[in-house]
Amino acid sequence: MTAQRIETDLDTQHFSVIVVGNGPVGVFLVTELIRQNYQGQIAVFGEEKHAPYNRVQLSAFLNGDNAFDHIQNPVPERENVQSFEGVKIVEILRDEKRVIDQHGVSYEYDHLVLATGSQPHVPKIPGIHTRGVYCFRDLTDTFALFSRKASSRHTVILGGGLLGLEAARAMLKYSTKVTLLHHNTRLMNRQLDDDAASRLLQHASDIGIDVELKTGLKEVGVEKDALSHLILRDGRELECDTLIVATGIRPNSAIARLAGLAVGQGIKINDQLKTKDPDIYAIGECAQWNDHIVGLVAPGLEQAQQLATQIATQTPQVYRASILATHLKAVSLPVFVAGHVDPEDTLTKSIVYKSDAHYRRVFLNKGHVIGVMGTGEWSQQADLKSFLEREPKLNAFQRFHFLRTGLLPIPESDSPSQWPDQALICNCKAVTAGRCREASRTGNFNNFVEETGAGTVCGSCKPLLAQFEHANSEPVLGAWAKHLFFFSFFAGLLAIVHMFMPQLPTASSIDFQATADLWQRSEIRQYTGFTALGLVLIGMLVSLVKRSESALAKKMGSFKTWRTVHLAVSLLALLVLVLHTGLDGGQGVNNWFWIATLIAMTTGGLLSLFSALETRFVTAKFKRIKRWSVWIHLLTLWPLPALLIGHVVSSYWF
Amino acid sequence: MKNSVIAWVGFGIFSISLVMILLSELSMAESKPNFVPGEMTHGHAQIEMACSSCHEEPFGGDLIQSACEGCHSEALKTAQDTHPKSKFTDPRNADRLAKIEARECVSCHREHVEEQTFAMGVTLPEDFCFLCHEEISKDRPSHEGLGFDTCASSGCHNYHDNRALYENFLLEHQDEADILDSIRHTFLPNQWPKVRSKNSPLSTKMMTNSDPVIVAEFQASAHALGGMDCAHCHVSEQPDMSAATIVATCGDCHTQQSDTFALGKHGMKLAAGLGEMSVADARLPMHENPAHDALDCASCHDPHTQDLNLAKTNACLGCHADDHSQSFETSPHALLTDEFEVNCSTCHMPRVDVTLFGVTQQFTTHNQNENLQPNEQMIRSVCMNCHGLGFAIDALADPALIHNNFNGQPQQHIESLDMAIKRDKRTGGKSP
Repeated sequence: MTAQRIETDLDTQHFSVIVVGNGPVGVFLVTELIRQNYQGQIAVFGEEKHAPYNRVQLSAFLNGDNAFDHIQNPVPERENVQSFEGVKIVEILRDEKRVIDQHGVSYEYDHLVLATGSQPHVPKIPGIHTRGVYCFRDLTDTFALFSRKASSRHTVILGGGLLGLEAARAMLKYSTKVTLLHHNTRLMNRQLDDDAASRLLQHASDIGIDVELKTGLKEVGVEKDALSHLILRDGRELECDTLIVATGIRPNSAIARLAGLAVGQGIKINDQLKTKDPDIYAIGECAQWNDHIVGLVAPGLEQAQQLATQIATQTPQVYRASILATHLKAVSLPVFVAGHVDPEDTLTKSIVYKSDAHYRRVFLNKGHVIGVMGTGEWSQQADLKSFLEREPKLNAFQRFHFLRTGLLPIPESDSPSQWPDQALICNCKAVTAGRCREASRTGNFNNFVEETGAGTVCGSCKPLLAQFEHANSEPVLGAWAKHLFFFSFFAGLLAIVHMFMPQLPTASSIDFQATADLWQRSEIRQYTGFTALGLVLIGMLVSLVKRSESALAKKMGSFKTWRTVHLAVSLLALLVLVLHTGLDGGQGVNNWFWIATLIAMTTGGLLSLFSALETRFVTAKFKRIKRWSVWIHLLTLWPLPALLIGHVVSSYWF
Repeated sequence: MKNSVIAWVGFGIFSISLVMILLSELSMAESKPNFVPGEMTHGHAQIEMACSSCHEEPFGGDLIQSACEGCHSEALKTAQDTHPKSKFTDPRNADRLAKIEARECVSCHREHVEEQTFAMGVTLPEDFCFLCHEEISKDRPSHEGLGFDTCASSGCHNYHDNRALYENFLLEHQDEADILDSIRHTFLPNQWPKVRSKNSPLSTKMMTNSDPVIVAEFQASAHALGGMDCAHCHVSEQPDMSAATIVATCGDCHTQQSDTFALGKHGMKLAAGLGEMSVADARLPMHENPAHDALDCASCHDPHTQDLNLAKTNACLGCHADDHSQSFETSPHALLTDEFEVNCSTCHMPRVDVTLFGVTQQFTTHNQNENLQPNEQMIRSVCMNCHGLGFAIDALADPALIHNNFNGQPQQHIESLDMAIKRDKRTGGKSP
């Protein structure tokens, strides 16, 4: 790097695109430009002395979940890309379309992109700059905290936002007490409502973080030039050796202000992501679009992707922030906020689903879903964003369904390997289903994942990626399935026999009467009836084996074995029923019982068929059909016990 | 988890409700339409909804036999049942009992299994005689080669009633002409009892206030001549005109008539407490117009005129539309007049003897079904009044002749009489 600088020291280098800032957003912009075959010269400047890294993963790194290698986020190595590390751009000369670094070297640009990010906001509290007080923003901070983590006996975190919580979790250690101070009545108060926050609080306490709400820091006590205790707003003193300040961020906009660009809270940009100067863009946390400043990585990446398209194709794009769907792991508890959600808002109607592990609140505007918030895992997470974009209306049944199951009416998508080309698999790295499919087909999917970095940012798309990985392995039709197929065929045959065969004959000669007695004499029909019932009951043990957790049930054999037993004895029972009924449907209650039995047999046959085909059709839709067929089979069994009682009691009654 | 809990609760509620609905119908309602397991025979179809007529008590399978006997034992007694229960409770016949449980009606007459039911409500194959009489040709060589399905169907034998078919009776009437020289029965008019007039204010009031035509008709009627007045039947000014009341009112005096009415097809439904039979309940072909007409005494007997001509034929033909009925007016029977008159009731509601307190009287049975199960029963009580036995057997065994109401000669000959005569000659009159 230094050698390069010496070469370029004298001449002003010219670049088509200069990106100021090599954080995730800046690097992603370059990656996207390369991907879109942008041929112009590109320079990336980062003031930190480290190679570009993924800031989002810092807490995981500090916590030990991620190795240092895994948080690297290198600028793609291409001939037309130059990365400047430890070089800070200090001035923009807009008239000359040049920028100047801290060493006075200037670089010319056609397009200047400011991706300067933000810096921690440090409140003005007496003693805040003492040794022992840290921020948690960049790799340098992280290294410092790494060493501090080893020696700290009591770490206090100021700020109960996402960053504060992550820092608290990362600093947890058997010998370290961790206290989190938060001024508001609830954690993550900008995102979560009381219920969600209280679940988060509970979770934080469970993993060992002491959370103090409704309190703040009045003064930092100093002893021997180092932090010794904190004085809280309520006057309490808190002995501690480490304080991490996580009280929010401020956009890095100084350089833009200096250059005379319009600056509010951040650098003001229009829909084309342009600042006041048409050749200067701003993206990520430093930018202010429509009075919004983004505090998360995903929208920044979205802006980067759009800007890359705009520069590479030279066609203006219109930025419309897509609905923000945030899935976070706050201290390992999944938290999500999507759409228009204001935790302070008590006027908007909302419906809430609660269970031990889940809290979900759906905000409704005139019946339309406008936002969702909650905690805990949610299987529909991946589809929430596109669901919210439609602002769908919930009918009464769908609301009831949500209140009961916590599920929104989102059609289960098929295997992602069937998704349309443009559909995004990895939102963070903008990896589409089409590209995944292509990579999966050529067979080096793992290389592809490494190259694109798909799944490395937030990781929520990892299950989807896994499906591409296995898309090529053909499912095989197992031996069990053939069994099932046979049984289902047999059940269908029996159903047809019952529906279309004439009744078993009446004896026309006394010689035949003994045979006809089998289906005509009530004494014999008692035997056949109870035999059929007994067989069915044996078959019902399958339900026990499937659902019971008891040791006895485990000892009885596998579900698959019992499923075969169930089918075999049920069919045997139906054969016995042919004798019992003489294929005569009877009338009244007996007829209802007969019809209900035939229906149950038919649905059982269908279920068996779907189970047989399950290994052939591994799509979500087929899985749904299969699941429904189980329920339909169960539902069609409902009338049987009552009708059986009616049938048996009436047989003896008369 | 949650889904399954809801499913279990739903299943529980559903099942309990359904069981309650079913069991409440089973245990509380008198008519239990949803528990009728199959179509009934025409003999019982009308009282299908009065379950307790046969199923007297819940779980009382053993009581069914007593219910059968409750209605049918009298007829079996009269018929001098050839296979009475006592024959099978005799230990000497234990081996036969093992072949067929003949102590119980339902061994051969099961109900609710219409598709397994043959003629006369028998639910065994027609050749069931084989079970006990397999070796009949040893005793009766004449029976060699005859199929067991012809025993009862050819007009020779019946299981229960052989009054007109047994050997001695056949021999006794062996040489009779087709039509007898003189009719055996005399149709004497009954001696009607005199009734003491009530002369109540109600009678007086009705006499003065009612339609003069009705009053005039009544005053010329047998009822009035016997001393009755309005109040004998009309107990109040707004009388209850339900069928049950009418039958009960008439039955006050016409006890045997109303009792036998209750045993026949026309009255059994009313007697079972299911309301009067309507024409639509019938299984025989009927005219469409009177489908909703109900059957009580007044259906055939005008209460004020007692026009017996109406009751004899016209009332019957007002409803019945089968070929046999439709052919009556062109049949040779219809041409007979005066003391030889034959009408519907001559055969189907014949005058029968009844002995009360040692006095034998005749009355007209109102059980139209009594001599039809099977129709050979009619031979002695009706046909032989005018016809020879041989002719009567042949005629009643000819379905086509019954169809056209005996308009012609029997087209087949039943050999039973010949066989009896032949055997009699061979044994020299010593046959039992």
